[in-house]
Amino acid sequence: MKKIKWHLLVIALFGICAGYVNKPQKLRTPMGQEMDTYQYWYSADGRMYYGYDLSSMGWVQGRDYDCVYPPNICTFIADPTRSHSDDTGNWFYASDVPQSGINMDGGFELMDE
Amino acid sequence: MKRIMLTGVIPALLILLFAYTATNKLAALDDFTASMYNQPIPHRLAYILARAIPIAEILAATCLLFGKTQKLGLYTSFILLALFTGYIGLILLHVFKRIPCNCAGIFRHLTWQQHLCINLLLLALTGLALSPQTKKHSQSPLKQSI
Repeated sequence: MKKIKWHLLVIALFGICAGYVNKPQKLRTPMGQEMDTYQYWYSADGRMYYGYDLSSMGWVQGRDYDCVYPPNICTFIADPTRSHSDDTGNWFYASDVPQSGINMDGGFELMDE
Repeated sequence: MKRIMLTGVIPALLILLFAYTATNKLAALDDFTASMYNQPIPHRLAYILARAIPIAEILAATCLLFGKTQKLGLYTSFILLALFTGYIGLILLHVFKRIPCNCAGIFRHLTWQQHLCINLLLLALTGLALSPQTKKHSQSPLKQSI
């Protein structure tokens, strides 16, 4: 076995522990359940979709949807064959919701994909 | 003092950085994958990179742990840091159509400009550790005489 530098191994273990302790936490409901919602989704015509607790609706994370925080940026991995409803009761498909990002001025710009 | 700094502290700093970042990403892989989807790259590539980046970071940190592979680890670190720095540079130069969120890295609360400064500093330190002058210094007097 190659000669290991033990002091560096201790530093690596410290880094691993720190990385695990500081892993990104999901938002939780007051009851402690994981909560994933649409947050600040902007469509091309400026409509915003938000406010659903998708977990409680029985949707499967990773298959039906996925979300990442900070809340003004959301990634949506949705089943394109299923329709979804926004907070106003309108139905839409995943293809209707273009992804967006924040520009240097804090405004939203549509993704190119 | 300078020699200790270059041959001891810089690899330690890089190991700490890569061990932290790789664990942080792997511990919340779904989140990291989603963050990668927010980057201005094709989704298929984002999925692959979400797995490849932490693996590359682990490899770099592991190489830095051993005396014989430390140089390889420094080169790997330099390449990784150069790629990250280049990507940030492209973002700040508005090469992409939008500025993606900086939620994919460990310094989530920093701006892209602050990210760039940190990366440039780490890149410079790694380059310094790889410089021929440092290599000459880090050789033992016995080896030099042989």
